[in-house]
Amino acid sequence: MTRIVIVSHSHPALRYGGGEVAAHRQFQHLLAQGHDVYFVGSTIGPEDGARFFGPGQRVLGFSDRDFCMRGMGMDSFSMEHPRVEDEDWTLDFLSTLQGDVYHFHHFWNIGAGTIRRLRGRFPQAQMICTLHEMTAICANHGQMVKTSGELCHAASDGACAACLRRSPVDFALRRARMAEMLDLFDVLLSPSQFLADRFLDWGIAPGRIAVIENGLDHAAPPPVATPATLQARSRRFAFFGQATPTKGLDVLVRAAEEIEAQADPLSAPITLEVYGVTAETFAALWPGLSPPAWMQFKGRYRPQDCVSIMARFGWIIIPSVWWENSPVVIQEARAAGTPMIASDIGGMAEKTAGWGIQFPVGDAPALAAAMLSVHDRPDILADHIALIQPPLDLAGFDREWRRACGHEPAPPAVTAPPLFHRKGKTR
Amino acid sequence: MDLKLHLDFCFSISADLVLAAGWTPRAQPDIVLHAGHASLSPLGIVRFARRDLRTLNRMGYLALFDLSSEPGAADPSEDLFLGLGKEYLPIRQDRLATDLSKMVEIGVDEIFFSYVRMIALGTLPVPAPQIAQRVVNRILAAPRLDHETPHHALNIDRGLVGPDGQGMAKGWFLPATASDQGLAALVINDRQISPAPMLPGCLPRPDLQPYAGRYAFGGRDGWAAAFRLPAAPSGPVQLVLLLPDQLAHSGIVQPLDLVAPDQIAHAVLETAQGIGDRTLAAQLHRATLPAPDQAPPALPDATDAPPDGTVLLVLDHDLDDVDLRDVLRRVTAAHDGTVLVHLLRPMLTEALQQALLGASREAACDLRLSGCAMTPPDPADHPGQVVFARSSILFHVDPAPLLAPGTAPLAVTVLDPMAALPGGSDHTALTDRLVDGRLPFACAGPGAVVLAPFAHPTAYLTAEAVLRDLAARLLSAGTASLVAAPAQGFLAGNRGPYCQSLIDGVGWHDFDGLSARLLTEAA
Repeated sequence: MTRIVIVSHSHPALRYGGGEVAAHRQFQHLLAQGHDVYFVGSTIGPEDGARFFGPGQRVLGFSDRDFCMRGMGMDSFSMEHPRVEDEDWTLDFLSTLQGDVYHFHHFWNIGAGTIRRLRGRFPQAQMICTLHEMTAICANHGQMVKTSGELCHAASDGACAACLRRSPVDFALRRARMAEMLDLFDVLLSPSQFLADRFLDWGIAPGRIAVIENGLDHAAPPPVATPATLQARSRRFAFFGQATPTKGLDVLVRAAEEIEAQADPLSAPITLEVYGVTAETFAALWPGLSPPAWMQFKGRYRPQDCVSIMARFGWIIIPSVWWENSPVVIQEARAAGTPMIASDIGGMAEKTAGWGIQFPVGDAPALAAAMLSVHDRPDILADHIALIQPPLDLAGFDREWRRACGHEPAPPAVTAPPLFHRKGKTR
Repeated sequence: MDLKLHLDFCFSISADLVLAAGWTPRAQPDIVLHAGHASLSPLGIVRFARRDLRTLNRMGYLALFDLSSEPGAADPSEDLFLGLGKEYLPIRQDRLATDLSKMVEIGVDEIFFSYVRMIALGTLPVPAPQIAQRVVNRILAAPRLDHETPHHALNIDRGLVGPDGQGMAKGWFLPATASDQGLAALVINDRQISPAPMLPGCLPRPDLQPYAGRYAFGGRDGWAAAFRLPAAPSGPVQLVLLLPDQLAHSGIVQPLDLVAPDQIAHAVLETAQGIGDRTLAAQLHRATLPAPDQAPPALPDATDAPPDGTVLLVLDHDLDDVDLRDVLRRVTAAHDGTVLVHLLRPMLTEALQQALLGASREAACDLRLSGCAMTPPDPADHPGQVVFARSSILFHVDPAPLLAPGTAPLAVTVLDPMAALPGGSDHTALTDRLVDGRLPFACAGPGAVVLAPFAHPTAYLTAEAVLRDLAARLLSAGTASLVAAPAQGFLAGNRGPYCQSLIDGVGWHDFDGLSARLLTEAA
């Protein structure tokens, strides 16, 4: 039996991020299907290590197949372990698993050197990498947003040097190191066409990256819509995410302020609930903004409750001011059968095309107009709900994955055909 | 008879120069040196008062003669006479060899310090080490002057000497009265003496205005002096300031601070900024440099370099410390044999150490650190192939040709953006751009060639400048090969000690460029 080792830069038991969640879901699905599969995550840095590990402890075992390594901290610019003994340990741990397939869901905390040496140690193994963001291209947290706040459309040694105030040669070297590392993988995967296109523009050879959406199981079907529920939901908006500046929560609040300030009163009540952020956190980040009374901060929520919570709303808003790649919140909205109002760039534009409403990124008045255009309009809501395709489930993901990785031929996916096709590019 | 000419000492300074020391009551004596049929007037004569003569009249003299100025005068078989009018004093030939030593031992202070002053002014060459040591001893044993007296006020604000014997000092000087003599300076160290050419009144010192009532304040009363000892100093180095008309004392003697070469360079540049006059500033800089060496270096026998596959990489790592791993991975991927690395860094940081360790883990060949110092190793330790390069160059070019022993004693690869342009392939122009344009380059050859220039003190701060000078001389002699690598897309690194700024954006490479130009002009 083929042994698959799934490696992630983090572990969802300790931190909840899109990449590690997708990796762990893949692991759980394969395990449930009886595959010989291991999961190896990592803590992010020394502070997490001190919290979760005792002296001398290097790995947590959540089961006999599910591990979390103690991350010692890694500079995401160099993407190398600062201490070679940590690289040695990581390499030895991964090597000991004797994988036939190593599927990396990131390389931060794993290290470019680890991957090079693993490739050298197991030349016969299949090595796969899912590109969850643009870290290889962009040293500013992989977001391709300039330090000045502008969206970045293409990386270059000179432009990156100006952005991050380093020498151009640093970026030339980093680019070479990242390209060398990516070249070692037999298969490169991307959860969005947008992300794949960015890597193609960066220099990855055409045809090297296969696009497979992250898998998301969604057992419960969306609730049946009635005129009454549609009427109620059409007045309810929600945001799911963190209070990081790139998520654009400030844009949403400014849009809410616009709506509040308009001269004509609304024909019906409106509510906007924010999940994942407390009022205190928001006030600390944006002390100058004044959310209206109908905007409520709900704080943290359990990830497994996300879809059922979303189903109560008419519209989920994703106002991110960076590109996003394949946000899990979009898949969750699809699973909930709730349409979205999204920024018109990157993965958001791609993933909400056809069933969402898009507004110019960062434009609060435009977002306010978009919200008002659907507020108390159950007919529009119903139309958009009807267009929603359920997200790719894990079985579908597994089929696509096997096809892309050459493990076995698979029939075309039936649960979730790609909704977005980029024009003008030939693969 | 009441003699008008008295001779205390007469000795050879060099093959052609003879110095006579004595006294005469005549105010303007026409002293002549007769050598065989030739009669020589002195090149110069110095007059001074002598306390032993119990008069303030300047009866003492030092007269310098050049025997080469008249045919046959330098013939050692000819009898020498010192004459004044009709008086003739015979000079035994043995005195020419022994009187200098006697003068240093028993000569009156005024003669001795007049002699020292002539050395300081560059009028006389520095004596041989044995004599020099005795001169130093007498200077140190003599009484010294205070920094402030009714006759003068002065200070040495800064005095620095580098490990190779280069140095500079600066300060200020306010005499109470005018003198036809100026300040003079020399540097002493055990058995070494070196004049320190003085730039008096070169630096503005308006802060000395409060002294104006007591001394001759001029506004530019700051002085600077620079020097280069003949050899690296073996112990404390002291600056001797010789004051005008003060021949009974050694003057002001102050130990110099031993500092790194870049600190000397910084002080030179900083002082040059204060001087303003570019010619004087260049004089100051030039004084810290050794004599220009234009001769092609001796090349070893080709059989001296055993082709055992070991390559020593002398690396100017001008990238981030962590990036060393990538550079070495590139090098080891292009070489089958052992790669030894000498890092041109003052110390091995943790990041460098980890980068080396990481590279050695990945390398298919043997990779080891052989040294970490700003100076490359001794040529005797590395007879095989030696490669010098900046890391950014090795990252840009294919390192394989540099790693393989070539046929030329030195193979130079230069990154010249003009070489790829129409008309840019002219070899002479390429050489000129390498040398004068300070283009980045890498070079390779046997250790006996590449490392030889580092066995002695050099004129430069950077290893690259030392090897550029070597390359220039070998290319001039037709014994080096030069190729231009494509420079398109080359991004030079800006890390490491060689990329540091000395002052106002002038870095080590810039300073070396200026040094090279001054040496070229002096050659």
